[in-house]
Parts: sequence; structure tokens; C-alpha cells
Amino acid sequence: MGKRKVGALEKLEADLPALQNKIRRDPMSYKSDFERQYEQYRTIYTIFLQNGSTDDNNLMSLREYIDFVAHVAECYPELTASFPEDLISLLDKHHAILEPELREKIVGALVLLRNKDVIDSIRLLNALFPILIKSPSQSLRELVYNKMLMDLRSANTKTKNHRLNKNMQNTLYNLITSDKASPKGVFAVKFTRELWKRQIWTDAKAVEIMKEAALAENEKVIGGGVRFFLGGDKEREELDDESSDDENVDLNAMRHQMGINKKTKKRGKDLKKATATVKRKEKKKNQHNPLNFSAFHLLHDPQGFAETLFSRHLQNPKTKLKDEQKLDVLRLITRLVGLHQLTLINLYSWFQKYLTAKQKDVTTYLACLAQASHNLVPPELLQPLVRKIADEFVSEASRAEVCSAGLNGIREVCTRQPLAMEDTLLQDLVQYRKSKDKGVMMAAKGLLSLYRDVGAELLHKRDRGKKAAMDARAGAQSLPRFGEVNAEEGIAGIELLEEWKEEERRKKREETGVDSEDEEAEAKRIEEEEAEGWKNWDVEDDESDDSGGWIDVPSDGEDLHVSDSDDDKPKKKAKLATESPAPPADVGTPASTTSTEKPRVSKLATTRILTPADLTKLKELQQKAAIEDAMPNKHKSHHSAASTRQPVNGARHADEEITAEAIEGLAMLSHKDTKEEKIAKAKGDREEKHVSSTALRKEKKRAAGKSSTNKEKARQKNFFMTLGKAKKKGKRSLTDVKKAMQGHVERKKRGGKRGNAGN
Amino acid sequence: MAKSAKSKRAKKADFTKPKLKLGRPKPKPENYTDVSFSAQRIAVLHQNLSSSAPSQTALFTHHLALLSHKSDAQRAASLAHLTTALSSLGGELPLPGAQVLTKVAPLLLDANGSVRNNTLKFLALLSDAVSAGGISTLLLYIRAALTHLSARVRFSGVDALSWLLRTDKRATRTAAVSSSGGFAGLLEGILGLLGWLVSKPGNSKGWSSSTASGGKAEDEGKGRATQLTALALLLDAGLVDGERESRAQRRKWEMGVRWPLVDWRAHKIGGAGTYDYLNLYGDVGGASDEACPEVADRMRVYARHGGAVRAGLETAKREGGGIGRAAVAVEKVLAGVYLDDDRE
Repeated sequence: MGKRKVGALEKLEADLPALQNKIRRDPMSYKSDFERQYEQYRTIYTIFLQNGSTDDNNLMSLREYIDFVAHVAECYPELTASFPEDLISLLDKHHAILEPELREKIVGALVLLRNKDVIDSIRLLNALFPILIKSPSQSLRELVYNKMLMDLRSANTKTKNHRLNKNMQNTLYNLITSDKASPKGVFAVKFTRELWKRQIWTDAKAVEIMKEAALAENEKVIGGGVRFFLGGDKEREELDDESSDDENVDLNAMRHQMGINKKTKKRGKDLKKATATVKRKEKKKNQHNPLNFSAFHLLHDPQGFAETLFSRHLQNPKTKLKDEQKLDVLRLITRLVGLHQLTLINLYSWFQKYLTAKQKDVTTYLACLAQASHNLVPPELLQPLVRKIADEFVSEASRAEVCSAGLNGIREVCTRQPLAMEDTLLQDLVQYRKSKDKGVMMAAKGLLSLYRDVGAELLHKRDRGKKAAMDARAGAQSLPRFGEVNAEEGIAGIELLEEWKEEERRKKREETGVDSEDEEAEAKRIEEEEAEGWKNWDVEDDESDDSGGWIDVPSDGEDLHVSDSDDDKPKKKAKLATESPAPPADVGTPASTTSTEKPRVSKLATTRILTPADLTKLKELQQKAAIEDAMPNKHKSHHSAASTRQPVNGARHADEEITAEAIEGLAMLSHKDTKEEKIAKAKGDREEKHVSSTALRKEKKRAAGKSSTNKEKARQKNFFMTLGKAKKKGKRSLTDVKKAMQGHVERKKRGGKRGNAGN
Repeated sequence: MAKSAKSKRAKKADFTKPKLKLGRPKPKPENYTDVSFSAQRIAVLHQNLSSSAPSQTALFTHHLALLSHKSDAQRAASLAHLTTALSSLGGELPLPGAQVLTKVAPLLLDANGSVRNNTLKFLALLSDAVSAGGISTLLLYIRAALTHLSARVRFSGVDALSWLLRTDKRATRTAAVSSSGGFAGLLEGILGLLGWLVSKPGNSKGWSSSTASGGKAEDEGKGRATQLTALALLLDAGLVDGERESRAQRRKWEMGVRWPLVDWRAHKIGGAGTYDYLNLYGDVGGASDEACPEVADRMRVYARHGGAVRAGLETAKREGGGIGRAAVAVEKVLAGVYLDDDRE
């Protein structure tokens, strides 16, 4: 029934919003009016409880009264003490049968009461959560979910409301753990994922909820939990980037505009706002937030988690998961294994079954295997797998894509555990670098270069390459033994810093022209520098932040220039360089003199306290070196000594996942297009040839699975078919006619061709 | 070989290519009748043919159902019909009274004036049918009408209240004042209308408004007099009526044997509403919802507002005219109550 039209006069009399407005302005004066209306509300509420129908013929329905009282409840807290309780009980008991509008109004009123601080968040969430779980109505669930989320977000805007968060997390945790098989856990997953994404929940308890979700028995809940671990952090980062992007303000431009245009209050306000935004952003940028760990690092007992996941979802023959979901679980397990270097013996034998070329999504399996291997996995476990991959994938007979995928897979496994390879197999595989196919060739070369670095002795002598051969002659053992751990010595990149400092000092000396033989003066200067480094480290920090996006990398020409600098410089400088005094003992010798020797331990860190300015510079230098290393045709500058110290696969962060794309690698190079694909490529996205609109319509109709009209069928009927029928019609024999007639009678009796005798 | 021209034509038809036309078919003329079908018989949908007109009861039920029709006019017409039907039946309801009341009572709050008036007219005929069962429903609606935002609805509420308390049956009156929310709710409602309601204690910070600002057009003249009359009726039914009865009974007992039945009334377990205060059926609690089964309870409720009522009466008496007379009537009722008080 539609809403009854209210006449103008009636409207004037029965105007709750007007009263509401008056009450808001002066609550004490309108108290008696409110009392009367509250009484009215209570009566209507009672009536509603008795007959359960909302009468639309009334001027005011319960809905409007709820709205009214909710809006002014904060003015009369004693009078309306029982109001929230009324609403909560009404919703709790009757949410399934209430009419949708009223239901939504009640939820809205509760949220309003929360926003006006009449009830607290915990009470609101505790009231709404059961509705979310129980309600059969999707629209109500959606509404309640959104409202709850909004409330959680707003409660955490200024500071984190730990009490509320803990309460909510406990509720969600209990929801999942109380009934593992029920699909209700999905709500817990949804909440946690959303709040994690928005960095409202960043603690271990949230991760614990998701862990329980991943170990649940309902497929949806499992899927949600697993996908959270695989993608939750990335989602969070993306959202963070987005939110920082959207308020990009060009402050200078705005100031400029202010100078040109007429100054108005609004523009001034805008500028102020923009300044505040920029300041806030700066602050946020500088703010070091060490507590933002990824979900994997917050996980308690990853070993147990991985084991349970494996036994429950992958090994269990009764598992109800679909293949894709299983694959997700596998990705999660292997990431856990790789990241935390877990030992999960059964996992590797489990892989055996899936490593065949015919297996669906085999590249993902290969990526997972690579992820699951780390240098603490016993080589005996990996060796059969590597051999299996080689047997199944890598052969002359197999397709080029398969072959290159196999080789890439093997390389990824061996990058993490070089001991997984046997020498004969490796020597075979390396032969593929002569393959005609580019993808296979590249993959094989990758494997070769990997082993030149980590285990040249497994290769044929002629394959080892110059450097490895020289190392071998020097008797250096390159293949590490199982379980061997190379402890990092000193601080990574410290010699870069040392070098830089030396350089700076020399420049300064040249500028001032002071003879540096005076050691005392030198020492004094160093002291001064240091003091400066401590004093305005904040400023330096800011400066480095400003240039954060850009790290200057010397171009090749410049690099050359530096290396030849000794010749170009004026004589005095050259003299300085040649007779450069023995640097202070505590600084150590310049790196250039010792570049050929094995990296020595810098004494800088042991003799000096690094200032914050030093540390930021160190970071910058490290980044610079990394980028230089990654450049394809870098000159072997004096940084090379440092670069060799980096791990072979250092480019990839340990937290990152190996994807199937990495395994497929350059397989696309070896893919041969079919004729259709070639034609399609040649055509590009040019327009199709012109077709009449009728034809297009017909085509569309046919595509939709609709048949043509009878008319059209008649038109398209073969002429000879019509001829035969026409001929036959005239000369049916009497028996034929009888048969036909009898058939007709029969059909009529039966009630049609199909007959309805049965029903 | 077919011989007749007709069969020849039929034969030829097989070989003629149908002429296909492009475009939309021509729209049919407005008076076009489709005669392409042929039927041996026509099945007409069910037709109800009865030789007699619908019974009074059926009509009554039908119109009762129409009371929740969305059109004002329809509701008013149905009520009028019900009224005439009831008077023709001699005030005897063809349906159970409670059932009729649940349908009619909501119309006390109806937005349309004529509907409300018709409702009151209908209720006037119903006096006998109002039983203890239906009275709680009716009371709720009367209370809702008394506190309604619209002044006209409040008027109707007062009228309905007067009607309820003027009834001849003492049982009805007693039920009205003793049921849950009866006396307290009605008293508060009517005092609120008069503007004599004392604000609830505990929140007296800030300014206190002297009288409720319900003082608008409705309070003048007849409206106020009606309200005072209703108040008098309510106080009479709640405080005096029961007392009168109990006095009569006491006198009877005094004549008979007194010992050992001393104070038997204090030990007596009451009637139907004894355990109402337990709220077993989930009534929303509250001061105005309390049940006052005994005169003493009602006295307690009245005592809360006594001062304001007396003060209000003083001013009302001074106004003279209809209002003054009504105020005096209230005072008379109260005098009876106080007499009883003094006696005890």
C-alpha cells in the first residue's frame, strides 16, 4: 500500500520534523511536548507489539516516531533511557517479519544513537551482529554489514579503539571457531579483510581470525581465509597508494593563483586546507610505522598452520575444495614454507603426482614447488622432483613452451637450493642452450649462469666460464654444503659509505686548499662534521625525503669521467692524489687500492658512531648500488666488489611470491601462432566488413539461441521438398487415408500428440 | 487430377510463392474484431448466481474488512453502514465484540475527521459489547489518541474516553481503570491535554516550563470543558466508584459477623489481574503502564499529580462558563474522594 497523501492542513498540525527542530534548539522549553510525543511513541510501540501491523492510515507511523525520538534522544537522556533497549529487542526478536522500511529505520536509528553517543559502539555492534548472522534477508544483512563497518571505521579514526577492536575480534573469532562447518564465518572473513585493508586492524589477532578461517570446514570460509593471506597485504598497499594519490595538491600553483586572482575567503580557506593536507601527508610520509607487518609475519606458529593446512585440505581425500581452491591453499602453504623456512617433509612427495606436462595449471605447481624450496630443505627430497621435472618436461620431443617452463622451474628450485641438482643432469640440461627455440635457449642459459655462480664444479669444464674456472683453479669451493649458513659480516654497504666520506673529505680539502698533513685539524674537522650530522639530522632527513623518488645514477660518461679523473684534474690536485697522505688510521684505506682483493671488513662501524645523517646516506648509497647493479651494461666500477656480496637472487624480495608467469617466462617466444591467430593479428582491431543491419539483427538473434520465424523457414525451404509434398497430397491411397484418420482419432482420444493420459 | 476450380486453386496455392512484405504490418483499425477463431463452445469464467442477497452477517464482515481500506471515503462509508446495520440489529453484534473492536479501535487515530466521527458514532452503539477482553486494546488507542500530535485527533480521543467512562456497566468502567496502563495512562494523557502534567522528577535542571505548551486553539472553550468533564469521569470511575462499592460492602460486613475475618481484603488474592505486575507477557514497562487494580493504587497515582490538579482547578473555576462548571464538577468528585480519606 502506498503512502497516504497528507493534506496541507494535517501536515501543518502533525509535523514531527518541525517539533524536532524546535526541540533541538531549546530542549528544556519543549520538554512537555516531547514527553507527550514520547508517550505517544510508547503507545504506538505497544500497539505495534500487539497486532504487529503498521497502519498506513494513521498520520504517524511507528517508523516516523522512531526517527523522531532517535533524533532528539540525546536531549532527554533520562526520559529515553529505555529507548535503545526497545529498538534492540524489537529488532532482535522480530527482524525476520518486520517490514523492510521499518527494519531499516530501526537500524538507522540505532546507528544515529551511536553517533550521538547515546549508546556506545560495543553495544551497537553487539546488537547488530546477531542480526547480521541470523537474518534471512540479504538487503538487511548488507545494510547491517555496512553500518557496522562504518561504525568500526569511525570509532578508529582518531585513535585506535582497542577495547572495541578486541571485543569485535573476539566475537568474530568465536564465530569461526564455534561452528567450523557453518558458512556464517564468511562475515568474520569479510570484516577482517576489510579492516585489514584499511589498516584499522593490523595486529596478530586479526591474522589469527583469518588463520582459523583458513582452517575451517566450509569452502567459502576457507577460500576467504586463504585469499586473505595471498592477497590481503597487497590490497592494503594498493589502497594506501590510492588514498595518497587522490589528494595530490600542487601547493605552489595554488599560492601562485592566490597572487594573481582576487583574494576571497573561500580561496584562502582552500589554500589553508591544501596546506594542511600537504603537511599531513609529509608527516605521514616521515612517520615510520614499524608495526605494519604483513600477515605472514604476524602469524603465530606458522609451522603448525602449514602442517594443518596441508593435512586438512590437500592430503585429506575427503576434502570438498575445488581444484582452484586447492591451488590457492597450495600457494599459501608453499609461501609459508619458503618464507619461514619450514620443514614439511610430506609436501615434496605430494608434489610428485602433479608434476606432469598434462597437469592443469602446471606452471603454478612449478612456481609453488620453487617457493617451497629453501636452503634448509634436504636435497634428497628435491632431487627426485627435479629429475621428474626434467624427465617430464625437458626433452627434444616435448613442445618448446613445456620445455622452457620445465627448465625455468628447475632453475627457480635450484636458485633456492643449489644442492638439488646432480651433475649429470645439469650437464644434460645445459645442452639445451643450443636449442633453436629462443625460450628454451634462454631458460637453459639461465640455468647455466646460475650454476656458474653457485656451483661451477657441477658443470663441464668448458661450460664453467672464465671467472668460475679461475676460482676453481684457486681452489675455492663454490657449492655450499647442506645447512651451511653465511653469517653477514658487518653492515651491508658500509664500505660504500666509507668511500663516499673519503670522497667528500677530499673535495672539501681541495676547496679549502688546506694542506691535510695537519692531522689534528683533520680530526677536528671530522668532529665538526659529525656534530653537524647529529645536530640537523632532522633537516637532512627531510631533504633526502624530498629527493626520495630520484636516486642519481651516474651515466656511463660520467662514470668514465670519474675513473679518469686523476688525469683531468689540475696539477695540484693530481699531486694531492699521488701524495695523498695516509688517511687517518681510523678511516681505513680507500677501496680502490684493494678492489681486487677479497672484500675486507670496514673499520668505520667499529670506530665511529654512525650519525643519523650517515645512516640515511648509507641507505641512499645502497639503493644506488642496487640500481647500478641491475643496469644491463654497467661498467665494472669500484662498486662491483660490493655488488658481488649481494645474494645471487637478491633482486627478488623474500616476501614476494613466485608466480606462474615467472615460470612461463619467455615461453611466449617459442609459441608459434596458428593461422587464425596470425590472421587476427594482421587484421588488428580494424573494422569488420560492412554487413546490413538486418543481417546483424539476424546474427544476433541466432547467437542468442532463438530460432527463425515460420515465415522465414517457409521462405528458405528447398523448392523440391515442397514439390514432393504437393505431389503426394493428391494421391494418398485409401489405406493411407484410413491410417491417417485413425491416427487422428487416436490422438484426440489421447489428448494430443504427447498425450495427457498419464497426468 | 482435380476437376473443380476450387481444387485446382487449392493445388495451385502450393506452388505460389507467398508475397512477402517488408516492414511493419499495418495497424489494425480501432473497431477491428478478431474473428479468425472458431469455437464449438465458450467457457465462461465462474459466475456466482445466488437467489438470495448476502446475509447481514456477511455484509457486516465485509464492511468490517473495508475499515482498513486506503480511501478515506470508503472507510467512512463502511463505518456508516456498520452503524446502521448495528442499529437495525438492535445493538446486537453478529461477531464477537473483541474482534469488532480490534478493527474499529485503530480508526480513532485516523487522519480523516469524518472517519473519526463515524467511529465515535459506531462506538456509541457498542457500549454493551465492550468487554474486559477488548478493553485493553481500546484503551491503548484512546491513550494514543490523547497524546496524538494532531489536535483534532486528541479531541476525538477525549470524546472516546468520555464515551467509555459514561457507560452504564460498572464492570466496563472498573476494567477500564484497573487494567494495565488504564488509570495512570489515561490520567497522564488527559492532564497532559489540560497542561497540568507535572514534569517527571530527576531532570529539573534548566528552566521549568510552567504549563505545557499544548495551549493552542483546542484548549479554548468547549474543548477544555470536555476535557474537564472527561477528567471528572475518570476520577469518578477510578477513585470514587470503587470506593463506593467497597463502602457498601463494608457496611454489609459490619452488619454480619466480623470476627475472625478481620482485614480479609488485605489478604485476598485478587481477580484476573493479580500477577499483571510481573509483566509475564513482555509489556513495555513504565510509570504510565502500571496496572492499578485497587483503589489504593489509583490513589497513589493520583497523589503524584494532586497538587497540579488542584492548582489547575482553581484557575479553571475562575474562568466561569462551561469551563468553570466542568471544573466544579471535577471538584465535586474530588470532594467525595477526600471525604473518604477523612473518614479513614
